[in-house]
Amino acid sequence: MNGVLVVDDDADIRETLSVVLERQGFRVVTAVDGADALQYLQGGELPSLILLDLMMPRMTGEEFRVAQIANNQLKAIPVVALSGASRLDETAVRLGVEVLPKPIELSQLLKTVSRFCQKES
Amino acid sequence: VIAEDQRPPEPLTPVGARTATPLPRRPRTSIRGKLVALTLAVILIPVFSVAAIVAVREIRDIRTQIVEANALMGEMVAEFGAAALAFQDRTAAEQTLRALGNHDEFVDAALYDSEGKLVASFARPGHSDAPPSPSLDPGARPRAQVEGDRITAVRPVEYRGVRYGTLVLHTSTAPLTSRVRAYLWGLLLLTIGVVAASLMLAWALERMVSKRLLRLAEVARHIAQKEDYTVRADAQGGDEIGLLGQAFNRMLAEIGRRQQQAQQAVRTRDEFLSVASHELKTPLTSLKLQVQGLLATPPAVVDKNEARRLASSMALTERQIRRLERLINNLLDVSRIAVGRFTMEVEDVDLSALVRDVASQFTAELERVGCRLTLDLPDDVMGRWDALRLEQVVVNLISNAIKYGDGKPIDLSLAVDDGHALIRVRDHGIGIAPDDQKRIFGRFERAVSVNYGGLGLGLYITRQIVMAHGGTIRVESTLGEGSTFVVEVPRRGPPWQKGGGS
Repeated sequence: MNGVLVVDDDADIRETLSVVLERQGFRVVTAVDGADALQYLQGGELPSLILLDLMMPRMTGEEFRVAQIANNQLKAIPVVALSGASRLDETAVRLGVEVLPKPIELSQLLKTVSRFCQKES
Repeated sequence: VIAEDQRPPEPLTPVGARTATPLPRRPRTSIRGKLVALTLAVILIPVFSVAAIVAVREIRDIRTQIVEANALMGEMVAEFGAAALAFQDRTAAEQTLRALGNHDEFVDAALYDSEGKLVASFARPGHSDAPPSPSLDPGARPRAQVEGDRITAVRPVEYRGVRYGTLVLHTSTAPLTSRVRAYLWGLLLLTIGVVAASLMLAWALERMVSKRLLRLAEVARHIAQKEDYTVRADAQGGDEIGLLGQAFNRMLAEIGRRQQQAQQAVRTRDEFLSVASHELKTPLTSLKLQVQGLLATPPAVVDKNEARRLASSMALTERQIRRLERLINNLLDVSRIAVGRFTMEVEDVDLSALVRDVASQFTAELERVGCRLTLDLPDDVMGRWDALRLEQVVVNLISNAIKYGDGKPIDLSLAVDDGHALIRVRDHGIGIAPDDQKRIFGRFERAVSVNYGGLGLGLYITRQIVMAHGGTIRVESTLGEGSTFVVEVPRRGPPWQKGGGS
């Protein structure tokens, strides 16, 4: 798939991101935490972009990113972190990923996603 | 973007900066020095006074004694000598004089007859320095006077009113001088003794007091320098200094405990901030994206009035979401400032474009309150600033001007002088009383009643941002006529930001 993998423990965020991105023609799959995301990646097609929440139970965004980089097949997938820290998120800087500050601006979200993914329709 | 985690110096660093001068290692005047001086003064002054008084009296007494003995002897010799002189009996005269030999203090004596010729003389061997003169003025007046180390007495030798000759008697003052010398030696020894005793006393006191106090001061100095509250002072000895040490240690324990509490509180607050920002922003994210999504692709509503009402509701909802977002961000900013975690990202910014952009975001709001915003912006005001933070400043100033502007026109102008950019926002609203003008830049402060809404954080954050840029903010205002806020920021970026230009 060429879509977006949304990894967030908040169901409403997952649904919202799915709705707004799908409305723009992107394919979206979701995972509830890092472990869930890894499981999905090991089984299915690889997405063009992962939108990753950093604060999640079970497996945090940071742990997921570490596991992802350690995996040769997965490490090339670009990751954009969704961060509650309004500016520089220390974790995101450490992980070397781009940041979309929460609350996310729709225009910014679409601009970012468009850089990595192609619309299906 | 150059991401630099800068902590602007003055306002954002935690208070408690060490401005006090360091404690000196050694006292300027030591207790020992003072003690020695005091002991010497206390002992030596009375001792010297008493010794002086006693010595003066003693010397006077001895002198009187010698003079009296001299006179008595003279009288006796004159008595016995009168007969010898009367009969020209030289042997008797010499016998009379020799009787003086029994008395140590007499040095020599000479008897002269009525014509002034020497009749007989006596000299103590080894004492008399000159032989008696062979003749003497026969009418020599009686006298007794001290000459160097001897007393010379001259007296007539008479019997029943007839003068038969003259007696010259020399008495040694050696007992007097030896007594004086003994006094001086005594005083010298006493002085040496007192000085030695006071030095020993001072040494003992230093061991007991000064050294321990200095150690205590050393501990205090160490703590002030290293901020290490785990060290303890020597609290041995049940005396006052031991007690001081105990009190000192108890204070240290208390300070250490409070410091730990404070650190714990800061940690708790940091964690809370992180969690709170996440928790507050998560629901806001869904809300904002949903509303923006609906605004971007509105649902098809056939009825035109319905459609307009829906659009208006959606716009209002989005506005309120932004407001909520601003409030949350303000709270988080304030907390970050409080813990010194206010980050700055300095880059090349066109302030003119930035101000124009911010002003355009207010178009709808200005229309709604019926207020006109006039911009006076020169082209290209380039500088090294944190764009998002300066945006916050301009947003805050315009929001305030609208909020307190009473719907009257607002002027926003941008000017450049060498090295600085000046943002000037002027409203014609309610104004700020002189007393309040100082207050409004503080945390949770505002000039007006709470009825105006807001947390009272805007100008506080604004000022912190301006100061973090190395700039200044001031207000000129007349109550009832409006306010002018002037922000001045250096174009080369914060002076403490290393590197700079690109």
